[in-house]
Amino acid sequence: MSAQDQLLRKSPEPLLVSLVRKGDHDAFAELVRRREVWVRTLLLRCCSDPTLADDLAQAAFMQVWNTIGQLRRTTRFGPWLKRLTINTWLQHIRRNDPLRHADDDTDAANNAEDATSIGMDLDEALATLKEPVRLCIVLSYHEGMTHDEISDFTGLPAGTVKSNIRRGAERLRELLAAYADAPRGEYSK
Amino acid sequence: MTGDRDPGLQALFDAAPRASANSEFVARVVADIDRQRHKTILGWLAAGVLLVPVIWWLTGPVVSTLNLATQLMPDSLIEIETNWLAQIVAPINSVTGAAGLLFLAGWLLYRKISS
Repeated sequence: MSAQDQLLRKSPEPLLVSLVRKGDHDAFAELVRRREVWVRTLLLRCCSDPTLADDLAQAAFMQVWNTIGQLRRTTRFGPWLKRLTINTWLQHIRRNDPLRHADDDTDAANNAEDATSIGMDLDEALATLKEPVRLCIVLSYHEGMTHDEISDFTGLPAGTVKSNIRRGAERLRELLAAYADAPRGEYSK
Repeated sequence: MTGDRDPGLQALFDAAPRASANSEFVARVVADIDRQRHKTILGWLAAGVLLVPVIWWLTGPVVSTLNLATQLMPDSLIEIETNWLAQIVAPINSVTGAAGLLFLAGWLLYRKISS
């Protein structure tokens, strides 16, 4: 590892962001290295498909490179990246799967019946939820965001966010009932 | 409002494995940035090459039009016989004044629409 790389590894994020704004590729690579796990995991929870999650994460980071000049305060990079990542996911939904929103509860119930095996993991359970419900659940449970923050990020009314989370949580509780009986240590990794 | 999260579900989310660090992913993103930069440079070069003949072809007509416009700029739009009145309205009673007013109106309209 070169001395410059070592220096970048130790640099605080706002400094890296400032360098990236000036077009520094190495600083950008370091920024991606620091944030890639978080972005890819968030998108993986959203789409349940590791390949798609990586593609979308790549698109999100490209967007970072192209629009980082719009970020006014370098200390706000984290929230800005989160918003950008969620927007990337929302754009993907609108572009590729508009009818998914039209799923009714019967479909969800059928999916639930297929997916009651004990081995079903969280991502598979999430995949059975309708897109807006899943997004609200992921942002609430995975990202720890409040209802108001989710409403602000997604543009959904606060009441809709709340009901999406309640319905999604109910569905997940049904699908992941097997884990409820297991001692915590058995599924903690 | 923090939301009333189900503790059991929260524990599942906390325990769910995260994506593992992937140096190939970082390399891929950086390579994409490089590719995009090369494309941009090539695009500008191509645009420049295309623009040269267009500019060469348009120079004559554009210069003629500008000359004509410059000659017309001070001309009065309405002939006013009274000398003092003609002098008062002179700033707006010309092609330049009308063009300036049109520009101002357009700019105000744009501000109103975009705000």
